[in-house]
Amino acid sequence: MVYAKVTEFLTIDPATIVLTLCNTLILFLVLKHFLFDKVNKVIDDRQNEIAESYKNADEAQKKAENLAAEYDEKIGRAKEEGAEIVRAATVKAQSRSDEIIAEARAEAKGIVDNANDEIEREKKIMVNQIKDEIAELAVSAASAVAEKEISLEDNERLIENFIDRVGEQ
Amino acid sequence: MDGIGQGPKVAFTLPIFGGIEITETIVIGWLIIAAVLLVCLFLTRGLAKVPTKKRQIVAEMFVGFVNNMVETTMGKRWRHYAPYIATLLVYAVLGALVSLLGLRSMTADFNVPLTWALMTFILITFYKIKSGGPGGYLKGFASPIPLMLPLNLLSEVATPVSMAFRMFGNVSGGAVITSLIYSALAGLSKLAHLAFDVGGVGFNVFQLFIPAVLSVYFDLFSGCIQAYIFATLTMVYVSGAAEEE
Amino acid sequence: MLEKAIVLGCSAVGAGLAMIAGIGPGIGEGYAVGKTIESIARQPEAKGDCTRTMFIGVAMAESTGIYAFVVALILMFANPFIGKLS
Repeated sequence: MVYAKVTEFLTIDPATIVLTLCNTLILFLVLKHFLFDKVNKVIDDRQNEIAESYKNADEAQKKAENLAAEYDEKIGRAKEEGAEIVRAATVKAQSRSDEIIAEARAEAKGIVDNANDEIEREKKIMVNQIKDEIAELAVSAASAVAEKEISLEDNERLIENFIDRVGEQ
Repeated sequence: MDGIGQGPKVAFTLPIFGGIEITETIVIGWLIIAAVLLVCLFLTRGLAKVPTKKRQIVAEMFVGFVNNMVETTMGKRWRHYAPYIATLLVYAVLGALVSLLGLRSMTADFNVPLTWALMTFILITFYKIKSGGPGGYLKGFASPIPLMLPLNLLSEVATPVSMAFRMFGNVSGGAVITSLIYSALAGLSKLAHLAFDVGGVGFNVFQLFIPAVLSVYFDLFSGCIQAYIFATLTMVYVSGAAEEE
Repeated sequence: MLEKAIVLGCSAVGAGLAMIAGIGPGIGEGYAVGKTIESIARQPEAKGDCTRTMFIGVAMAESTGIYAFVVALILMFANPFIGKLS
């Protein structure tokens, strides 16, 4: 390139100033439009995404904590309920067993009483029978004695003895 | 002493308004814009939410660096300033680094830092008027006592002028020193009989490696630091102007 | 011709004198960096902030030196006095 002219070392040239101003503005627009806007957008997008994912993770953790607390509560309640059921069942079983035992006792007592009554009755029957038999025996003995010749005294003594013996029996 | 102490060359003249001279500076600016546009298009191709490609990581690193710089210096609500700061950084760094390609440093043309300083000045004034109202802005010049008016005016103007001269001085100083070293090394080569003339092109042995080492300081380091400082000062001034009172 | 030579020579001397201003920023920057290193040694966790503030401060302190340098460059390469001769 052949230069037509060389300027002075230090000149203030309005044309150069205006053109440099234009150049600077063009470079500014180029950098802003083609570099900064694009890269800033990408960086901001990424930061937003990271913030978003952090927020999501926080939310998920909170949710999980809530769920765990809920489960804990539920399990506690279930345990309580179970204990309650067991206690109620125990009480019921106790009362039922008491009832059964009482019933059994009453029944046993009834049976024993009946048996005693029976025994008493049987005894009475037996005593009456024995008395009848004794009387029969006495009659037969008397008749046997009467066959022999005995004194009045002997007779009386014999009868008295007999009756005493029977009475003792 | 070719090229020392010269301004940018005129690349061509636009035949409108009686001929507008387009200097090297503007042409280099166009080249930088084209390169930045291509790099941006390449870096942002196929952006994904989960970065898998290296170029997306590079793009995000750069954007994150500028965003972080703006947020720590100006505050969170100034994040929309990041592209402007990035523009200043990229333009200033690349403008200084083109000297490594043998072109003239763009920021060694006083008009370029002057333009940016004027932009910063306009932003400062805008935010001062916005935060304090036009009356408050004018009253600010006469505080704390009306006697300070000339000094306040001077310091107001000194801000962009000092910013412009700081950058221009550093980069053009680096360029001047580099070319001085080149010519000195050429002389040294001649003294040591190590200068050859290969087919009409001068070839000096001492010019081979030494300038590269020095260029790392005067072009790379100085250019980057000045770009960073210019951007930082812009941020500090603008956010300071908006948060006054 | 003699007049031009005088103006050029004086400009060169002026450029050299202007660069004396380099002393100030040199001392100032050295002081600032030293203080920064002291504070970093005391509080290594504040290294980033210290370094950033130091760079800004150093750049500000450098301004005066840069102004002098620009004046010197103007005197050398864009001498405004030559034009005033004729």
